[in-house]
Amino acid sequence: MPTERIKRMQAALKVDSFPFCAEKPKLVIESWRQNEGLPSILRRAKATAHYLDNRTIYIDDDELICGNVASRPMGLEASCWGPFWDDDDLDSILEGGRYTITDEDRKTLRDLDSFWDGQSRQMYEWQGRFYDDDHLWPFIRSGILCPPWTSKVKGRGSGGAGFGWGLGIGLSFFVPDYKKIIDEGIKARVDEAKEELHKLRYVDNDSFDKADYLKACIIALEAMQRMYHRYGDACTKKAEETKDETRKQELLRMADTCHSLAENGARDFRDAIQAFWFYWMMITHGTVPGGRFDQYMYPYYRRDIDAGKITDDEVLELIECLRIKIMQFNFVSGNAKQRDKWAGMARWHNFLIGGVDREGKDASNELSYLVIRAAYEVRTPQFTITLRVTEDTPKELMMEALKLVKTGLGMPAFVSDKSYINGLVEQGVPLEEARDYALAGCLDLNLPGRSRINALGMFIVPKVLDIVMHNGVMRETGEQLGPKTGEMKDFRTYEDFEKAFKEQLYYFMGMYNEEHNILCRVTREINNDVVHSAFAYDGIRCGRDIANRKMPYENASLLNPVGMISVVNSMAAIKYVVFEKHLATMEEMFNAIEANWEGYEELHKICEDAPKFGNGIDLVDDIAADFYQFWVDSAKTFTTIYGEPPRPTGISITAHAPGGGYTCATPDGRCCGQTLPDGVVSPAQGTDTNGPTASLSSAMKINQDSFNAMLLNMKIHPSALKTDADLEKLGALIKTYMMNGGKHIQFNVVDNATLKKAQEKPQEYKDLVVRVAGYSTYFTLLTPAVQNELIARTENMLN
Amino acid sequence: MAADRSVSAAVFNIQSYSIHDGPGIRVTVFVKGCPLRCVWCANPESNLSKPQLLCFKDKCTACGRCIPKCPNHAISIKEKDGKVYAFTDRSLCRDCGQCVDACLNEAREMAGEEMSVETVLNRVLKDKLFMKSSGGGMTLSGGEMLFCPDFSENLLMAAREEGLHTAVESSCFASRQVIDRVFPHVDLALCDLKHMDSRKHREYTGVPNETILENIRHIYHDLKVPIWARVPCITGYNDDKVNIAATAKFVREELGEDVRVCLLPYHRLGESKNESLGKDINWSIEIPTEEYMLELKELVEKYGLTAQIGG
Repeated sequence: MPTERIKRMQAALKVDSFPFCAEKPKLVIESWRQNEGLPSILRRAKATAHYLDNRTIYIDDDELICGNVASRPMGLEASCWGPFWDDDDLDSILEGGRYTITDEDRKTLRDLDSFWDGQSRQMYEWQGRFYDDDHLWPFIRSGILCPPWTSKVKGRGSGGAGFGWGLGIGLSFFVPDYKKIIDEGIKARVDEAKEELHKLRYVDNDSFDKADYLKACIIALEAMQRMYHRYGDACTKKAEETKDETRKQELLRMADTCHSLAENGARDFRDAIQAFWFYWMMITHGTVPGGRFDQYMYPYYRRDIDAGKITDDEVLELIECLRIKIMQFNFVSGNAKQRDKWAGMARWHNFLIGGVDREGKDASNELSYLVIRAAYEVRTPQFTITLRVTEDTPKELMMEALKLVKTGLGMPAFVSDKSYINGLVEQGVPLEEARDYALAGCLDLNLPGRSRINALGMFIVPKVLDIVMHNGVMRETGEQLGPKTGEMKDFRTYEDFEKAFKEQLYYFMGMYNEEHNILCRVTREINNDVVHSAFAYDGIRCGRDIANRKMPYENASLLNPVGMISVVNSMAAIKYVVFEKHLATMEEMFNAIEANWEGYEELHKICEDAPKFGNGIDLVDDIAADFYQFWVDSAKTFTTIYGEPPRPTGISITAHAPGGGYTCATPDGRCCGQTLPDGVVSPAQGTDTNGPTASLSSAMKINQDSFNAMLLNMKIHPSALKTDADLEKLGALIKTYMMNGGKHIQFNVVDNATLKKAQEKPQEYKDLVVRVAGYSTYFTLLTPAVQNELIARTENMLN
Repeated sequence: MAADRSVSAAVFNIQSYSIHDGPGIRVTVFVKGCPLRCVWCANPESNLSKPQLLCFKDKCTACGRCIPKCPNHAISIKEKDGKVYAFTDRSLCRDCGQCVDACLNEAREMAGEEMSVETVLNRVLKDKLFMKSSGGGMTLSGGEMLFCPDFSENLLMAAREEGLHTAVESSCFASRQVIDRVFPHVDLALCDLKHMDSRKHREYTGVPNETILENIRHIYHDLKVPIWARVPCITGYNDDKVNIAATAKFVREELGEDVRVCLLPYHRLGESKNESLGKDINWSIEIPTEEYMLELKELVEKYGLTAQIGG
């Protein structure tokens, strides 16, 4: 049972509206204006420092971990990089009253807009410079990457609200080296930077950049130290005002922690969790993870427990406080299409537990259980938990994890150590380092402090299939987008058609890689950040921002096929219907697709009944295995700006909904506009009729090791999870998948009747948590298309 | 002697990830044909040994595509309770299934397909990894698998040849000769105990229970096959405490304390199937409450037995 404190704090999360705040952009731009002409790295460090020194800070009544997210409770600080949302878009999002903004803040944002007139700070403007009309521009506009651009100037829209205390590094998936941050503290890095600066001699070109970088580190990190002290002072002040003696002592202890963290590494568990929160807020945006929480926190836990300084109940309460703290942080994208793509208030704060240690032994410990327990008691959608499953994962831990799954919270997700570690070793990472992997976003593979992802576009594969069927022409515009690979009616064999598809796919993958290189380059130009960089591997001595160097494990760009399963099913339908059973000709198939199946109802049914991925049928599973391998092999032939190949990955987030929305009918029987299969090895919605083992058997035929992620969603009816014996069997199912080539699985335990009711009466289901493609959110916050897709997904009635 | 894998039977479902039909993760094979006619039957489409047509009225759009496909002119458009649909006259229908392919709305389906031991086993073995790692195996169910002894004997033998744990779900209503052919290939028998009063057993299932009880004793004591007793708990038929106590007493005294008793609460899944078979069923059995099921569980446990609710 959660404590009274936790209950009060949790109740306080339920607010009717979230205020947009303008404090951060105001302060950041204030500094920005004063420092025109400085190199980006210094100008950004100064802006960071100015914000940290002047931001509003306060201590909430019950909290044990301090550090307010925004200037107002449950607030979202607006983006600094204007222009802010135009009034129409802002009004559309304020409609319904979920978000609010004061007239004063609205005026502040509009005033700041004038600063951005004619300025080229927006990421999309930098990107647009390289979208040449005769090359990349038609591709960027086509929607093969979701969402499509409509104009080089306006791009994908701007703004957004809900950011941490730092300036961020743009789109990024990064796992900080929390161990180093917590163990050594901020000042250690400041001292290191000062020492490096002292030694520095201006004898070559790099030394000038290094000097700027080191100075920037010192500016930003010293401001962090000052802010930690400010929090310490605020705690002391609050303690003085408090009558309650117990609370007073808590506040004084918190004050001591804050002051100490400004100068030292953590001394105990309470210090460590506070250090985590401070740093997390410095770097956070929607996708900042928690890393291997049960590992880097464990030494503090062990020492304090052994010394009798803390109890398990107190540790549990602190972890629950952290869950609540993370729920105070919210994010909204500043563009309707992006909001669709990130359905709901999408955030991914992934905390890993379990797995092996650097020697390969089971690393789970008491904290692994407490992390699960905290989520069981405080059922908020964040933070999300992922259990690293190994051969030796204790049965008890698996059972605790499954009891949490049973609540319908959609977590933990399960990932396979074997597959992740194999994949990293295959990419040349030493085994011991590979064993320390962690995930950012929902499943994005990183090594803590030793890698970072800067480009992860959503490549809608079925768009390419449509182009293949039209001889390289994009039918919506009539443009010759890809090479001429032949008219559909002229293909005489399945193999010829498959060859044409692969040729087109490879062609567009090349452009995808170029687009990613532009993204990486833009990040390097405009999003340098010393707060991230200083704590990365060799972060001070190397003298470079992380976007400006090759990392020990280089994964800056990920190539991610969305809707591949729809293409696989389509190819299977063509092979089966046209070339094996001769139930239709290629021309008839083409005409049926053109007509969105209207007038071709019989052929539509035949195509729907053709073999589908996820049922253990070789004909289609073999195509899936081959196409995914083609994706892996093709990726290896490209190069990123860091000199390494882009890495293949497989997550769809929620891009399968908007991506499907603008994709025409496909030969698998899908109609125009219909949502694409979610995940990457999840069967298409409603087509996995042979049960979960068949779905997994199909997925196990794919070489998943070579992918940095491979998402599989499985919805399970509560009837399959009634008894402990049921849970044990689900545990066995998971483990079998994980030990035999599977990479990831997550479950949605909820019945359709509930989901339908929730659609009808959203107000009564505000608490309903569901998981969509790698993250948890409240069902009622999802877009209708995603809600419908969830309901359509086959329920595995495991009776 | 090796199994003959060419023997076939009508199979109406092969269900993977069966977790309530024996230990571990199992694949359950359902064969058609049953000598009993339990009034509460959950799988009425399994009664007959031949494939049968199922029609789902609610899915039908009355498009009429099936009508010309029927060689027996059994289909016509009708209206019932405000729903217009393609009605199948069961007195004319020969269950040939030609209308199924014509339907675009999955409103028509064939229950049962003639399959060989080889074909069935290949499907089952696709889940071998999951069965092995979870201590599961194959469960043969029905219908009544003893009603097609050639197929059952050979499928069970073949499954064992592949290293699978074998379980059967059975009413145990068959001749001693059939029992002695099939059960030596069984690792676990899930035996139904539907009613201890033979007169009522006959009334509700169509057959008396003496042969059944005798067979169960024989399976347990002579053939040494471990048994789980399965008691469907049907409100108003056999779920009274007198019958459940008599059941527990039989298990404890005439079998052994190692026989687990599974109390299976009635569910309504069979009722919608009756409609799709063109049968008018006007009764409706209440689903037992969870509290009552717990009382029955405690009752069985008083006899020193292990009891569980559900498979």
